[in-house]
Amino acid sequence: MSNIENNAALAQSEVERVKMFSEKIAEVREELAKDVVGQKEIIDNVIIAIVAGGNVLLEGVPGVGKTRLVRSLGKVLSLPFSRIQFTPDLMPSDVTGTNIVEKDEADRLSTKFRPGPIFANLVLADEINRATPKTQSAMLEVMQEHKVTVANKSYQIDEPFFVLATENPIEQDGTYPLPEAQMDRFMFKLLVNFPSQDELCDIVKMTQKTMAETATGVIDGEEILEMRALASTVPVADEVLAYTVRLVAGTHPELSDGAPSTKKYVKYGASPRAAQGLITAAKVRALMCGRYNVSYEDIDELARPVLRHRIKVNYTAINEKLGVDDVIGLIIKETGKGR
Amino acid sequence: MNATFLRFKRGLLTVNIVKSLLLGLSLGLAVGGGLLLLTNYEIISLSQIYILPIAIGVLLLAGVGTYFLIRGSDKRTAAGLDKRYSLEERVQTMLQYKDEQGAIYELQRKDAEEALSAAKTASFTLKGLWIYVLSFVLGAAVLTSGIIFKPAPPPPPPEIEVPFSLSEIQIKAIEGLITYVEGSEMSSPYRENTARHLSVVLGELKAATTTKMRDEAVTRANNAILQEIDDSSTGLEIINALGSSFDPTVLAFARALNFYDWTAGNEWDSYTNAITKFRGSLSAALSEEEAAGEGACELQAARLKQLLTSSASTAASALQKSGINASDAFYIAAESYLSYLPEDGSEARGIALLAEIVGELGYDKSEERLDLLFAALNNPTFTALEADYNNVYVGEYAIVRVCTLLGVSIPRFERPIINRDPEEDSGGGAGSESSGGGGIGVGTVYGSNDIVLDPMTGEFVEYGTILDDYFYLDAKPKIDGGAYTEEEKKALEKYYDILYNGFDNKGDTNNE
Repeated sequence: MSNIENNAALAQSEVERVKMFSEKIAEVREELAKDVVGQKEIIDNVIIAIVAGGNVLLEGVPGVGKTRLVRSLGKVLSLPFSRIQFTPDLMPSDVTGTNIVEKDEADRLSTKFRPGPIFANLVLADEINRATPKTQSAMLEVMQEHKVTVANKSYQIDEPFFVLATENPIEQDGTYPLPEAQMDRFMFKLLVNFPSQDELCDIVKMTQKTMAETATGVIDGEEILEMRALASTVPVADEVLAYTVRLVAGTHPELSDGAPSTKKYVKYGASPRAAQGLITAAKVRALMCGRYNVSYEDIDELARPVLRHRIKVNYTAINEKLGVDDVIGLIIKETGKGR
Repeated sequence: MNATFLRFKRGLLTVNIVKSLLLGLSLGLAVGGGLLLLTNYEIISLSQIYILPIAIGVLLLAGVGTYFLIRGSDKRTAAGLDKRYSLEERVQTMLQYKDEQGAIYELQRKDAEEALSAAKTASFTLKGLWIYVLSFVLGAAVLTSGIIFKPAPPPPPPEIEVPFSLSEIQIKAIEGLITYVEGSEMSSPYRENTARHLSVVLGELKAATTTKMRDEAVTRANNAILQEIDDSSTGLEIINALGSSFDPTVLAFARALNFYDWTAGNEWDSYTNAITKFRGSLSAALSEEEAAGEGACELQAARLKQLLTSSASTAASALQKSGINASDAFYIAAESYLSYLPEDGSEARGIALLAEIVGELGYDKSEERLDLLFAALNNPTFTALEADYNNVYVGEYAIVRVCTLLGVSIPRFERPIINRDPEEDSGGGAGSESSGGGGIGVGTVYGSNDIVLDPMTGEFVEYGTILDDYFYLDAKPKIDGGAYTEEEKKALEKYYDILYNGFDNKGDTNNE
């Protein structure tokens, strides 16, 4: 085969790959819908985060389907899944694993690393804010670098690796708010709201039959990695990139180019990871929407999930009964003028 | 770059040029119109010839400036297209990655082109054009205003009605003037007409209540009297015709006539020709006489008489053919001269005189004497023209008198300007001699026929009749009483001397 024919064949295969992306996403959505009623935006954002390689913090009152969503996702993705129930007495080694002393056949003692539950592709960190900061900090390295270091020895976790954590926003007794560094490791913070009456009705009906998840695997880790690689090639116009940077920088009240609402309502702004996460996620969203470029709309739609856990509002906002999402909305409006 | 995008780009370029032109025109028209308005109402002082260049300058500057301001780069055009048609940044991305290779880029370009092809060029390029059209309309409106609106001309100043009433003294003075005219030597019917005009103006002045009415009445009377003078006189045309001639004899006539300020309405060229011909005939006759030599005087005298008579007849005939009426002043004068010799029975003496002149003096001297002979022509002319003189003098005097009495401006009398020979003016030439006969000369009290109010009797009398009384009752006691210096005394004595004795032609008293 000549080079031209090779190139043409390669191009054709890439086109097929792009087309397959949408089909796979549709299948994942379809499967998740079998176990999770409603919450379409949450599902889409979780899919985006997984394809983009980000971790997700799900916040919602108990019983709205957070854990069920993650479990169902584990099935759909056909990936090794582990669940860690965070409690105040949970130790870091309970998460990461630890070296244990073993006696071999010759009765010689040696240490051997026993991986913790974190060694999976999909990790559900349930009620993550119930663990102590020490244990929460054990998640920092693995969430960012996908490796665990124990006794000066690092252990790589297989890709793809995701942490999907949940937390309860109401119950404050015996909880430890996640430190900022920990929060920053999550690409998205998704708010799982109470379902509508119709959705609740469907939930009740569905669980009367069986509590078990019925979704089946439609995608594997390799395919996810392929999709991630494909999404990373989606072009972003300079104007869109500049807007994203302006938006993230605009959340910093200490900067001169901060948005007016930021200066009024924001205590501290988002880290550079926010901008990276926004662009990465926006690329996936563009493909999911059947588009081959990132738009301003992608950025705007993903701004709240990406920024809401990264910025902290001040007392002026609280006093005026403005939530983080309200302030982000104002910042988007002000930054988006004249783009 | 895909064809669809290029189509938009070209359309946008065209529309941007139109927009720039419209805005340039708008500003040019607005500035031009505004400046017109400002200068019309004198808010700024600027010559309106500068407005057009200024407006053109603004047009060019604004047009070019606008073009560079609104011309779209590819990026701006792409952003505009994305925004206008909600293309979700497809076009901007396509433009940025137009040279990238790879399936995702190919798909992106294809996707962008499909999205863009659905958009219409006109709806994008013509967007906002209405603002430029509106600005052009506004600019045109400002210019139209500048052309149309001009300040109303200032209202004429209100006429000031100055009250007027004719005083008793003025009435008496005008009545005296009428009496004077009726008794003057004006020829009839001009005398009666002039007196009637004065009577009319007197009636009008009595009824006048404002100075405007006074002025109008006096102007009407002046015009009527001037018309009478004009009708009665042929002098002006005669003077004009004579003055344009280079013939010294004719010029002598002109100077003489000019002295009397005649006016007339007849052509004079024909007469001038006749006089010239007449003069030429005489010269020819004299030449023949000279050629014949002494001793042939009798024969030559007869021949000369024949020539002279023939020339005279030719001149008279020419005068009649020229349309100069037999009643005209100059015709009378000329005819009088031409018939002079035969009438007094001395034609033989006249011819003999000529023969004697030629015989004794020779040709050159004869020419001089002949000139003197023609100079003598003035006298009978002036005699014959005296009627015209009287008409003009009395008429103009009446006008000046009325104006002076009422304080109204004296109208300007037409006077032909003919250069006088200074030698003749100051010396005892023919003109000077004639002036003494026809005007104010030695032995005449200067202004003696002016009508003035006699303070002793309260009556209007001629100035000359009370001059003695005035001198002895008023001036002399002051002179004798030492009211004046020696120098002033001498000046006063000289002044009265002039009044009594007229100007001393040899002295410089004219200036005093």
